Amino acid sequence: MEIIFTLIGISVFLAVIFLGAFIWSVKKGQYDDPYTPGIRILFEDKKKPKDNK
Amino acid sequence: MSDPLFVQTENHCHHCGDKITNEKVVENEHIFCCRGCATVFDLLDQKDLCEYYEFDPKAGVSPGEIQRDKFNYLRDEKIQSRLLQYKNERKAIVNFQIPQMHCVSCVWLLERLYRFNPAIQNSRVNFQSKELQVQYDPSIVDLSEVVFLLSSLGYEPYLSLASEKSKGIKSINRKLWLQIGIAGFAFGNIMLLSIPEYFDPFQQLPETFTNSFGFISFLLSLPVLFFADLDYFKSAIAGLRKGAINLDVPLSLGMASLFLYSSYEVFFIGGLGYFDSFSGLVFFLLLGKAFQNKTINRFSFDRDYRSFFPLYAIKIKNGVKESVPLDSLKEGDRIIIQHNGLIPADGYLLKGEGMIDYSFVTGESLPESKQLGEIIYAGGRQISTNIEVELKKTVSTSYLTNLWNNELFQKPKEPLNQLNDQAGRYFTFGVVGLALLGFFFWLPDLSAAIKVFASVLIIACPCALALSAPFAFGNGLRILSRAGFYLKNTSVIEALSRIDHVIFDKTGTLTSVEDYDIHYEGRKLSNLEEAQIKSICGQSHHPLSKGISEYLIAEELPIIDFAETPGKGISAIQREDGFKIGNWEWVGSNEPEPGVFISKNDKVIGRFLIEGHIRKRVKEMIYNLSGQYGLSICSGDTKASWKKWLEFMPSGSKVLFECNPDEKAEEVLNERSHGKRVCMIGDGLNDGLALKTSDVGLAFTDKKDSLTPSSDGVLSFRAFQNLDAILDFSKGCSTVVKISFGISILYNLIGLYFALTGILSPVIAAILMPLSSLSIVLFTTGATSILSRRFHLSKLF
Repeated sequence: MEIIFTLIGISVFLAVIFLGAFIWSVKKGQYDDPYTPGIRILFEDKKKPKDNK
Repeated sequence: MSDPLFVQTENHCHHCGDKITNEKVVENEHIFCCRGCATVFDLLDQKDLCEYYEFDPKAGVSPGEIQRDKFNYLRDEKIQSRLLQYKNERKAIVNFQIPQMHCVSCVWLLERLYRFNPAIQNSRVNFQSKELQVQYDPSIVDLSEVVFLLSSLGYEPYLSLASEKSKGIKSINRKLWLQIGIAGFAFGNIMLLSIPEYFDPFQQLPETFTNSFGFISFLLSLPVLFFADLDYFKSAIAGLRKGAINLDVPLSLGMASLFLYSSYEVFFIGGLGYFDSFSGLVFFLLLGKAFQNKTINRFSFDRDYRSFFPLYAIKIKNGVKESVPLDSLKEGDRIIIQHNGLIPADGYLLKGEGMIDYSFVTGESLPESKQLGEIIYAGGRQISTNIEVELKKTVSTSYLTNLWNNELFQKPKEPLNQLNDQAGRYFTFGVVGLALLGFFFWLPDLSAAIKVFASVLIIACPCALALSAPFAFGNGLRILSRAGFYLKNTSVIEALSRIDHVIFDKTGTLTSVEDYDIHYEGRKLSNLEEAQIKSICGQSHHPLSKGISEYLIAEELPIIDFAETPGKGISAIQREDGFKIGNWEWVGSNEPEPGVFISKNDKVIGRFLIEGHIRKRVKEMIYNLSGQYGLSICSGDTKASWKKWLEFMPSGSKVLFECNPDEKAEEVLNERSHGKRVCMIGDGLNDGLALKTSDVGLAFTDKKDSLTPSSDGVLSFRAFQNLDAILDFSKGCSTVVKISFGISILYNLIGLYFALTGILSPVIAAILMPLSSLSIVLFTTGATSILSRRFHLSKLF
């Protein structure tokens, strides 16, 4: 049964990693504008502009 | 993505999609309604950006006429430093408000500004708040050129001294997200650790399990205690300091006892404690807060007079023109006010023809003409050609500014969240009383007494109660914003539900500013006379003359000897008939009466009465309101149509005309001093003061991008027409909150049975709390949605 402590340790550790990722994304401002990125993803550049290097 | 129902037909402009009413402009095999639209298309076509039209065929915004030198003032370093967020030699960042932004195409184009000018490194849109952040290289391109580019595309940014948007909202939102994330993380993990105990009623688990699980739960809930729930403790303490008990007091009591009792159990008795309920409670409360906090970014609710003023003035010094920031203007400075320019400070008219539109300040819809040497007050708009003004006062000491800062009108509004605070007060006394009662009842047995005492505080923690108002009003706010009524925050709904008196502004609110009703009184005009009057009025640029000229349907005739005297009228000769058209004095009438008089060969033959067209459904709406609410009209207009409005309004209503901004605000104060709760509805800065003084001040707007004065909410036209339904709906929302208070107290009573008999266990708490919260969330959102259908608000979506 002692294996359960190892498993809990691993699961909490994983969860902390995800929590860290969440905190990072909030601090980076990913939650500031929940609307526009949804529009942006629909755009596609059909052809590259001619003056593009 | 294009709408199949909307086909680009012969009659629609290729750029803006408007119907073409005047002459059309043909260019590149496409038709346009005006030169401006054609120019934008040209610009886009050159840069190969015509995909713009694929997302939305009505995407384009007509740019109007823009002169290149309009933005020259932006070259000034001092002005730039106010607008730029960041600047070094190779990089500058600026945030613009773009009110014209309305569709997917706008986002697409505005994020491709670099195609027009490679010195623009990056541009990013926030669609909801209509903001555009541009990063450019200031050594190659100047701010004025960036603004000019935007304007020539039809997206002229809104620039003002007060436009620096507070960064505060963003950091508050980020903090809330972090709090939710951390509380949710703790909740989920503690729940997982608690599950073995939920299914172990006879406590057969080995002690090492409960001990270590309890300890891990304790560790996990520490960040919840010290970060996620802090705001509730802070608010409770702030309330207690002021001597008031708000809903956060019983919440904090509950949270504190949850945490303390659980720690006591983990460290001294051996058990898991209630950490699952603790973190869950905080998590649900924060979710409710996030739901309630949805802000309407589209409108700014805290504008003061400065937002309406331009950024700069053109000062003349020794014959040289110079753009200077407004607050550097001093008494005695001479400035030039251009056509359609706003007068920033009180001064004397020195040069030019003053035709000042004060509708902004007074609500009077007709412009006033000013003679040389007369005083011109700040806030007026010059609608004739350029004038030169010598300032008598600075911007900050002018009449308008003084009025705005007048302490008489700084009367505090009623405290917000009254429903919640009342509930919190009763609740705290009730719960603490019961807990003490239970404690003394069990007293000889101290550990049992402590357990009962803590259990009562834990189970009575008003989680469901605290979620009632956020979810009911939060959903109400969403419903109303879909119906075209944008509120500053959820507590405005509560305030609206208590309103018993409504005051309307007339011009621009009840009546339209663009549509005039013109009506002729006097001797019947012959066809020839109609044509003569039309031709003469057509020569003048005065808005009234233009209106009359458009109203009369006849052929234009040649006229001679046309002369215009500003502020009085016009005269001309047509086929040997001498006409005078103007005010009563001008035509030689004896009685001072309103209207535009006509005299033919020095004989008065009649007059035209001109007033704003009453908006659709206004009469029905006012009639419906009159049953429940006291009504008043406060207008800045002349008394000309006073009688008509007195008849228009239901009996018992007050109709006040010729009100200054301060008189409007005084009227609001007057009603409030009689114990009324007043809702003021107005559209312009002239109502700004009254909006601020009222319990609920609502700004009316019929344009997507117009500036509204500081207010508690913004009403669009379709919402305004249905004001009666909206007020009923807000009352309904308050009732929903009260009913859901009842439901949550019912749950508490069930919980209290377990607490007082001393058999409360973590499982019961873990079932009761989410169950009660969930039913409150379902009930409040469901009931408010049903209400919106009942009052036909869903028709307006």
